[in-house]
Parts: sequence; structure tokens; C-alpha cells
Amino acid sequence: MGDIDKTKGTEPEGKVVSRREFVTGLGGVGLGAVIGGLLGQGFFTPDKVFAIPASGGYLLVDTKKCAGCTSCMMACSLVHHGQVNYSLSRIQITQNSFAAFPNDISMAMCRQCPFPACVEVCPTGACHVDTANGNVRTVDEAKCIGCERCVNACPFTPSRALWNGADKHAQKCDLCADTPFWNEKGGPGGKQACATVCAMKAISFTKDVPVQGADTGYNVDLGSTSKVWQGFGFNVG
Amino acid sequence: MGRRLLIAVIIVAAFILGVIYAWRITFIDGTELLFDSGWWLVLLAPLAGILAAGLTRRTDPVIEGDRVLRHDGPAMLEHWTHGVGTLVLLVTGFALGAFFIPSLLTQRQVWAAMNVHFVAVVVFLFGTFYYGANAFMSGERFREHLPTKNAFKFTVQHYGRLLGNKKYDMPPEEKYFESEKLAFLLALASTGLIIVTGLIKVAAHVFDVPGWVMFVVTPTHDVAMVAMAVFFVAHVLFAAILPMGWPMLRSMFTGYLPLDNAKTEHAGWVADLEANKPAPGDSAS
Amino acid sequence: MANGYAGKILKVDLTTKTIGEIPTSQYEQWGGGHGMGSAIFWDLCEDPTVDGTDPKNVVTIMAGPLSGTLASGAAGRTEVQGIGLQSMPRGWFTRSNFGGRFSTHLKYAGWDGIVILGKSDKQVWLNIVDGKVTLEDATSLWGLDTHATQQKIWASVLGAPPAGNWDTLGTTRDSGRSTQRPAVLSAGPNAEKFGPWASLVHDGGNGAGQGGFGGVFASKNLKAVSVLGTGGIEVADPNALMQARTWLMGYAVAGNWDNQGKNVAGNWPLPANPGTASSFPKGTALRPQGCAGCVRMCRCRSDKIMGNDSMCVDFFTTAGATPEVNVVWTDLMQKLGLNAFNLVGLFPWLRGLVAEGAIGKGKAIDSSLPFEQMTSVAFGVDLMNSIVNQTDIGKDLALGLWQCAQKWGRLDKDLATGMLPLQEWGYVHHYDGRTEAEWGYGCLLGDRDINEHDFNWICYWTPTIWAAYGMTPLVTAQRMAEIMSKQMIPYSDEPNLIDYSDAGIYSETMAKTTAWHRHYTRYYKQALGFCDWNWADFVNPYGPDFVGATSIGEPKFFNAVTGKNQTFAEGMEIGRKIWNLDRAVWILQGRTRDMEVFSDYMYDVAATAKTPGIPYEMPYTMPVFENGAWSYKSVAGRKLDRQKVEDFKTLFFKLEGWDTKTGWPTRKTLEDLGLKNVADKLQGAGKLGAA
Repeated sequence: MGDIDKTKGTEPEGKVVSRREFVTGLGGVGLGAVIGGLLGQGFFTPDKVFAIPASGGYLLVDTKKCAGCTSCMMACSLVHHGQVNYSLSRIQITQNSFAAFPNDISMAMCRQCPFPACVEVCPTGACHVDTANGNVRTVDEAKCIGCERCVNACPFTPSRALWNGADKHAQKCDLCADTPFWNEKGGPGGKQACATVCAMKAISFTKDVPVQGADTGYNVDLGSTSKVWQGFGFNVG
Repeated sequence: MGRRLLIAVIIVAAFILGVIYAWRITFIDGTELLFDSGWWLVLLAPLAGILAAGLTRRTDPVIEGDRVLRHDGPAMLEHWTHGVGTLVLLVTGFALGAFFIPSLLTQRQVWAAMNVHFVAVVVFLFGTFYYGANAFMSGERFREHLPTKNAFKFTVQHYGRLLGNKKYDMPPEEKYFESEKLAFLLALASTGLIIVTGLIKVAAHVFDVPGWVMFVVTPTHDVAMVAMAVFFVAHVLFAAILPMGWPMLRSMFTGYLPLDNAKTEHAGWVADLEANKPAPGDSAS
Repeated sequence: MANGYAGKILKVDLTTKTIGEIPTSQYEQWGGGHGMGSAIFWDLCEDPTVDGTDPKNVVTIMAGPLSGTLASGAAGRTEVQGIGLQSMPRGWFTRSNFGGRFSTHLKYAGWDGIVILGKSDKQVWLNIVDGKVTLEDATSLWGLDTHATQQKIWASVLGAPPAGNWDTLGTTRDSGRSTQRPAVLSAGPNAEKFGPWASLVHDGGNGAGQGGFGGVFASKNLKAVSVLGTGGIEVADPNALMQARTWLMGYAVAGNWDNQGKNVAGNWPLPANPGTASSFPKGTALRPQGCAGCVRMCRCRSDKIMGNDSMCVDFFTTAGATPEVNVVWTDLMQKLGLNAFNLVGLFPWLRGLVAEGAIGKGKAIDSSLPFEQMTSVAFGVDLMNSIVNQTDIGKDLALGLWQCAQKWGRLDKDLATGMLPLQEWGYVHHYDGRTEAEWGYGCLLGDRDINEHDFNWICYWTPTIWAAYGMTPLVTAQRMAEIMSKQMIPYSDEPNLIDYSDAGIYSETMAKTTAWHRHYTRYYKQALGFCDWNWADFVNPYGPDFVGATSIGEPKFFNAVTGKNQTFAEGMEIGRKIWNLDRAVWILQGRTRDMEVFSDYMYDVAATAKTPGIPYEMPYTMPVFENGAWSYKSVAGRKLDRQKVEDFKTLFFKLEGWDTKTGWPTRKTLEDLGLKNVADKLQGAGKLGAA
């Protein structure tokens, strides 16, 4: 046993590099390279500015028309997961029968934010902008490590990025870009399951970026002030 | 001896402090995961291990009176950094959940576990690459872990004897039992897989690694984790928990095994040592 | 298994406080809902002859495979069964159902239904959060109204008033989460005191209104059931279910926003109809509100909160009061958990008693209620509170309308004139069996007011409105008959199934219509949950050539969810099986054909809008086939002939394979349906029909 190189001091013939020399060199140079690279990056490389392209589509809702039937939630979970499950739905309708209209129902759909906090905080790029699908903000499940920073980062309540505890990854509205259980083309260039099944036409789709900041960019009049709606007896006040 | 103790204390203290730090910063809002802010440490650790190996002088096993020097200082360093790292990695890994195993933790605890996992990764990589580089430099130190053609014969005889079958005699095992050398293959494969997949997972914090790669890498990491856990449990059971392993456990702290124990359990090894006894004062490089 | 079922039914024994499970597969042949409920009752009720308040009464609260899915107009219903407290002369094994989101959460929690046995020694409520099922102390809830109870339970289950965020229901990252509030079903305050009147209420106004199930709950010391589910239900063919949903939307306003002109009558496809939106005071801000998975949305929510989730008869516009008054009454009625229909029948009776001078201060029936202002808020409030608190005439009313009339010595007299409008079994006249025959017969040969509007919309309301307002019918009577015959499998070879003429109502074809209705409602509507406000869809203004979705739509949804290949005919046969099982239970309870008679007014008084004074009724115009031709004809003013009704019953029993002398199923009929054990039990009780 023992090394090729004996410490008795005898150098081998020729310029053959010993294993010890190789190992020491690799370790030393490697360390130096990493530390040097870090320092260099810190001093010399300017911060990169990442431009996030705007989504090619957005969901708009008219919360005054919503009837609280939760068909959108059922459809969303159905087309994405093959099961009906409120907790897997990427659109959430919450309601309180003992509250006064219009505060009895809340519609929580993803806003496909121009500056998406969920994308920015994701450590692995799992929550990302899908350039192949109209820049929709979505989660690549394979890359999700389950840190839930996206869930925490969403500025809205309830968080539009949600945790799928059964399959152990975060997920969010992808405008139906990836719906393995529905034979319709989805994504910003196609159909959205929630809007398709909404019987009251309280959900619609637009390609135009809604006004940001207040709710009124996304919670719009989809007919709640129309003659048809009033004809049913629905005065929205 | 004093130097060893000092190194041991420093490393243990650093590890403990690292774990405490890792746990506590998760409860401060706005801090990144250590895998994000400290990814470079994951590169440094193995390189540091390699460099350390290059600077290490080894002492070969030798009989000293009524005891045998089995593990030198570097052996103990490689073993404990790799081993304790593995333990903490497995605990945090299982707690984080895999496959159909749900996480045992709340959201905040998940972050803390990820950070502790990071600290353990650093220690583990240091120890494993320290061992790897040492093994690279000394082919013999690697080969002595690999099973020989006697693997199955010796194992049957050894454990048949242990289980009370008088038909079998204790075989002349080498420094490592053939059964241990077989188990080493499992450890080697799972360690290799877990490091490769683990490094890719860390890389995903820095680079845009394609989803299909992660789709393969993460389940592989999970499978390797389970394999490592199997090895780990068996190893700890035989080497530390069962009384027959206690002399061996002591040797991983003191370096020494009683000679009569070695003659019974590792007759082949002792015979080699007696045959190759270097002259007093000599020590291998 | 991806078949729409959760896989297990919750079994709660309140006496022993044990929580158990029944595998759904054991009862899957019954479909779900009522089918399973009847089969489970048959198996687990030791003695169906006991009173509904007896601990031996078995209550089932059943979902079905379609609950919680996108099966539109089916996903939201929950079926409640057990021995009831309302019908007279005895509480039949009966049913009620309610909408909302209860069956959805029950399924997502992993349960296809709940079976409740025994009686708790302490007041309790049942708490279901996914697989975690516990009995909680209900002492502080017992005297609370249904709305307060639900909100208190929400706080108890969720910890804090929900902020609308994701709640983790377990302790770890991967345990269930939800943004939803629990779905709660509650009895009213101290419901044991007005049991025959007591309903079960879920959310604002989804009510299992008839049968006295609130009283049954109270008799078991059970106040409420709460369920929250964070799981899901796998569906056999998700794409087919999505396609079915969008297909059905084409049969409703949902798919026809630009085509409103066609929404005249027919099957009332308008949201918040009939009459729900207009029941609110002018200027009230409103939205439509629908049960889980619906396409129609028949309720409302208002900016006044009062009346949320209520609809139609829940509002007392029919009592002659203004919307401002009605909405207060509706709110109180739901909070107290009172049967709305009993109130619908009570008002005409009280008006009659007032007109007769029989009731009031110092009168034969002494009462301090403000009868001089029967359309004031105070009157309704005082009246309802008197029933709940047993004060004034409420003490007697709380016994039940029939029992109260009996106590006042007025039962026979007021049933003879129809002043007390109890058409059969002590249930309030809902629609008129003298004119709309299948309604009356269905009630009489069953256990209660059927509350199944399948023929009612199409054959009564639609032609009646066309006639009343001089509108051109969308379809001729002949076309209507053609469409409906085709859909009424297995009787499709009969062309005259909707002949409501003077002769037609006693005919064998009317027996087939009645039988069809019993079978269809037992399976499709009560076992699978297809909602009465959307199904049966016979004639639809949006359908191709006005043909509605029925006979195609029901199997379409069922098969998409379950992965089965069940035909409509097969479903109808399961309905016949369930109907026969129910019949067997009533027979064990003492049913004989001579009990099956309407109240006297049905035979002796002409059917007009004034008698019995159910205010929403209009004089009946219905399709008739007379002199070889179809037409819509007024059949108002008709009375039933006692003998002809008896002859009709004989025809009906013969058709159903029951002993014509007794109305009891024969062994052959039961065994052909796979109910040999039922035949054996009836035989053992000496009540098997002779062949």
C-alpha cells in the first residue's frame, strides 16, 4: 500500500505528475477559481436586469354576476388534474351566505402580473414565464422544490400560487396552457376552462394588459349593468 | 492527539453553529434559502476536501503491542464528516418528503429543514470528496473496501457462525468484512447518484436547468436517499448498536482495536499486518 | 377508482358514539342518494314501524357519484331520508333534499354519504373535516337559529373568522388546505318543540324543508352536521364531462345570452326564477346564486342579506304581503328552520278561520295575534315565533297542521271544504291533483307532496301562461305529446301519456305516466341528484326542434363521471327498483290501499284558483287528447271521482305488478327486481301481495 510518491524524498524519473500533486493542484486551483470568480462577479459584473415579458392573456371577472356555483373551480381542477377538487383549483371563489351583496362573494383569479412576485422569488425557476405559451406565468412542476416562496410572495389573498400537497409542488393559473384532461387548445391563444363553463358569463379573457394597482382593472363590467341582466331582475345597485 | 482533538472540536462547533444559524435565519423574513445565497459553498466544499487530501499525510495500520492501529486521523475525519453529514441529510431529507411520502413539516419548518440540509451538504461533500481524493491517491485504500471473490463464502461462514451454526468457522476476514464490502457497493452507488443529482439540484438554483432534467434528477435523488437510508441503518446497527460492534465503534474515536479482537474478527488482516510489519520507526507516507 | 364515488359512507352511532364506515361498493347498484338511502335504511333500521322520534329511526344524508362534479344541475343536491314527523295518519318513511354545497364538501372529504343511528345522551353536532370525524358539544348551539349556528360552527372549525386565505386543516405542509367555509346543515332553535314543522337549513336557505327532519335531528340530540373537504373526486372521463357541461349550457340561458327572446315559459331557464328576483323589494341590489355545479342559478343574494339563498315559495309574496314584508318573513323562516310549505298552507286556513269568525281574541280559537293585519311584518313574525316557542295558537300549530286541526275539532270540516289545504297525508296542497293528475297520484301513492315539477312546468304552467296572456304556444299540444312520449322510455310507444282530459286522468296511460314519474324521480332526481329546477328537461325553447335534454343528458353525465355505459332505460329500471323498495317500507309501516285517499275537497269541491286558495296557482290549462285531437284546454273546475280514482289505483297497481286488492308488491315483481329478501320480509310480516 502507499502512494506512488514516497516521502523518503525520492522524486520519480521524468516529469510525471504524482497523484498527490494532481489532487493538491486540483483542490487548490479549484478553490482559487471559485473564490476568484465570486470576488470578480461581485466587483466587476454589473447586476443583470431581467426584463419580464407581459403575459399574452388575462382573466377578467365581474364579481357582481358571479353566482357562487363554483363550476369554474370544478372545471379548473378537472381539466388540470382529472379530478374535481376545490383545493387544486387555480381560481378560488369564496363566499359567505350571511354577508350582503356584493361582499358575499369574492373571485380570486391569477392576474398574470406584469411584475410577477411569484416568478421573482422562485429559487429554481420553477415558477417562470412560459415563453412558448404566450408568456403565461406558470410553475414547472419538475423544478419545484416545495419551498412555497411563491405562495408567500403573491400579494393577493388568497394566494394565487397554491400548494398541491398531494403531488407536492406549487401550481397556479396557466390560462389552461397545460390541461391534459381537456381536448381543447388552451393558453393565451386558446380557451380557458373557467370562462367556458361560467353560466353567468362572469369570467372573460382578454389579451390587453389590465390597469394595475386597483381591483377595477380586473373586476370589470361583463354585463352586470346591461339591459339583459336587469331584465332578469338583477339590479346591481 | 491534541491536534486531532482541536480539529475535531473546531469542525463539530462549526457544524453545530451552522445548523443553528440555518434554522434561525428561516424565521427572519426576507432571507433567501441558503441554497440560493450560499450555493458557492457547495462548490467550495468538495474542492476543499480535495485540497485537504492533497495536504494529508497518512499513517498505515500497524500492530502496536496489544492493539492495532486501524484508523488514522484522516480516516476518522473522513468517516465522521461523511457520516454525520449523511445522518443530518437523511433526517432533513425524509422530513421534507419525497414520492408519496408527505412532508412532516410546516411551511416554515420546510425552509429551516432546507437550510439545515444545506449545512449538512457542505459537511458531507467535504468529507466525501476528502475520502474520494484520499482513495484516488492510494488505490489500496479504495480496494480494501471492495468485495473479493470470497465475498459470499466468507459472509455465509461469518454469519452462519454468529447465528450459532457450529458447522461454520469464522473466516479469515480482512480489514473490512466481506459483507461490509458488499454493503459498500450500495453506499458507493447511492452516494455517487445522490451527489450527482444533488449537485444538479443545486445548479438549478443558479442556472436554468431544463424541466425534463429535473423530472429525472429529483426522483433519482429520492431513490438514492432511500438506498442510503437502508445502508445507513444497517451500518449503524451492526457497527454501533449491537454490542459486537462496540470495539469497532471505539476504534473510530481512538483509532485502535484490541489485538485479540482483531485476531478473532479480522484474522486475515492481522496475518497481513504481521507479515508486512515495517521496521520500527517507519511509517508509510 | 375514477368513477365519481368517494368509496366509503360514514356511519355514526350516536348512542355508542362510534364512528364507522360502510364501503360504497356494497350499495353501488342503487346509484347514490335515495337509492342508497333506502337500501341502507332497509338493512339498518331494526323496526320501521317506530315513530320518527324513536332512536331506532335511521337517518341517511346521501350524496351520489355526481355530487361535487360538473354534472350540471346534479352536483349540488343532498338527499335526506328517514321516518318523518309530518305525514298523517302516520309518519311515513320519507325524503327531503337540499341544494348548496354540502354534498360537494362531503365528497371532497372522502364520503359518499352519512348514516345516523341511535340517539346521543348529550346535545352534539357532527364535525367532519376530511377523514377526521368527531362529535362536538352542542349545548351552546342548541337554542340558536340556523344562521347563528352555522357561523359559530365555522369559527369553531376554522379557528378564526376566515380571512379568505388558504387554511391548513392539518398540521403539516402537505395536509389539506382550503379557502372554503365548512358546509353546515342545521336544525332550528330547540327543534324538538316543533318537530313536525322543523326543517334542516344549509347556508342561507337551502332547505330540506318537508318531513320534519329538523325534529328528527333534535330527537337524536343532534343539532347540526358540518363538513369541510380538501380532497377531490376522480372522474372517469374528464373531457366528456366538460363537453357534457358545455352541451347542456346550450339548453339554458347560459349558452344563449344573445337569444333571450326564446325564453318564454317552457322550463323556466331564466336565472333567479320563478319569481325569486322579483320577490325582493324594488331597488334591492341582487346577484343570482346557484348550487355547486349549476347552470341555472335559481336563487339570489341581496344587499340586505335577508333572503340570501332563498327562492320561490320561500318568499311569502304569495301570502298577499309586500316584498318588503315577505323578505323579513323569509329570513326569519329560514333562521327558525320552519317548513315554508306549511306556512303556505297555514295562511289560507287562517284567512278562512278569520272570515268565519272562528279565530281571534275571545273567539272559539282564542288568539292575540294581530289578525287584523295579516300582511304586516309583525303578524308573520309573531306567528312564526309562536310556533317555535309554543305560545298562543303556536302551541297547537306546532303539533302539525293536521294534528292542530284535529285538536281544534275542525279537521274533517276544513278538509272537506279545502279551507285547510292538506291534499293528502297531511301535506299542504302544492299542485292540484284534480287537474294535474300525475302530481296528485304521485303524492297519494307515495309518502308526501312529491315536489317534482317535471310535468308541472311543461304541461301545466307553460300552456296556462300562454293561455292567460294570449301568447302563441311555442309548441302545439300534439308536438308536446310527441316530444315527451319519445323521452318517456320505456313507455315511448304510448302517444297519449300527457292526456289530462277528464277521461285521460283515469286511464292506463296516466298510470304509465305516474309510474314513469315515480321511477324517474327515484333514480335520476333523488338517487343521482338531478335537480328539480333543471330536470326533467322535456320541452326546451333552446333545444333542437324544442326537444329538451332528458333521456340523453342524464346518461351523458352519469357515464362521463362513472365510466359506465348505462342507458336511460337501465336507469329507469333502477328507479323502479328503488320505488318498489320504498313501497315495501311503507307497507311494513302499515300501508294499505284503503288509506290512499285524498282529502274530501279533492272529490267534492271544484278546482278553482280560490279553492284551496294556494295563491300562486292559476286556473289549469293542460294538454288533452279528445275527439281524436290534441289541444290545450282549461281543466279548471274539475273534481275527482272517488270510484274512478279507486279504479285508477287498480290500474296502477296492476301496471306495477302489485296486488290490486292491497297495493302490495307481489313476490314475482320483487324477485324480478332482485329484491327476494324484501319479498321474504313482507311475507314474514304477512304483507306480501298475492299474485
